[in-house]
Amino acid sequence: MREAIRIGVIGDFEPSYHSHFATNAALYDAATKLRVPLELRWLPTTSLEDPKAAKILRRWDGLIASPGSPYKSFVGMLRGIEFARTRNWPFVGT
Amino acid sequence: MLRIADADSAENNSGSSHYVVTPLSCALPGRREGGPKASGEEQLKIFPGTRLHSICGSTDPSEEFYCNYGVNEEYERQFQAAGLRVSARGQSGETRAVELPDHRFFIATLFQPQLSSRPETPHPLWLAFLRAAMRFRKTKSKAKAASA
Repeated sequence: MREAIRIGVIGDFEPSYHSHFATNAALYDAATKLRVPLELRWLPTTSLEDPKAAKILRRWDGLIASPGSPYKSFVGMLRGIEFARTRNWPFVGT
Repeated sequence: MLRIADADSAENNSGSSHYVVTPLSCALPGRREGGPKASGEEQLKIFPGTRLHSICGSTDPSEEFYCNYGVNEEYERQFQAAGLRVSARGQSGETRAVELPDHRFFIATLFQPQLSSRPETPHPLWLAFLRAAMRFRKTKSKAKAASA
């Protein structure tokens, strides 16, 4: 079996938000189409406030900024996006 | 990115004098009842030569929106000077997607490709993103092996 692709979604998951549910569904559907196992994890914005957030972020092969502002931590969200931008990490923000 | 220390979104009500993200000025014609200003579909103009264009093809697609805020156009020139490129605009010329041309894969959209993605036909942006992540993982593991 192929090694799983690891995607981190920066955001505060709310099961009742259609956009959040749709984010997970779209990623699993795309991975199925590409025939690659997917490891998907939501990264709460408050967990990225720490200046050492890079340790959390670097574990993922790609990062997504989720919809659904205002975020619990705007600082954490910006830190996540800045990491992807300055470290050349694959990123999509929706 | 723009070296504006107090840059903020108007949504946060911080009293900053530099809101780079502000409420959208006009609603989409197909706005859903009770939904945010930009809800429903809009046909986009995607610019040739951008990464988004190479992903979404040459036909200008309709995309699903669900949001109230967008790029403050007063800052658009500064964003462009800092290297951010507008890859798609809406019917009235508003910024709908941006990207970093010199980056491995950095695309941000006002529309939500997850809303129009379907199990049989996942949105091409997600397919392209996962492919980029797979390529990136390979380069990461090669670099790791080389340094081991």
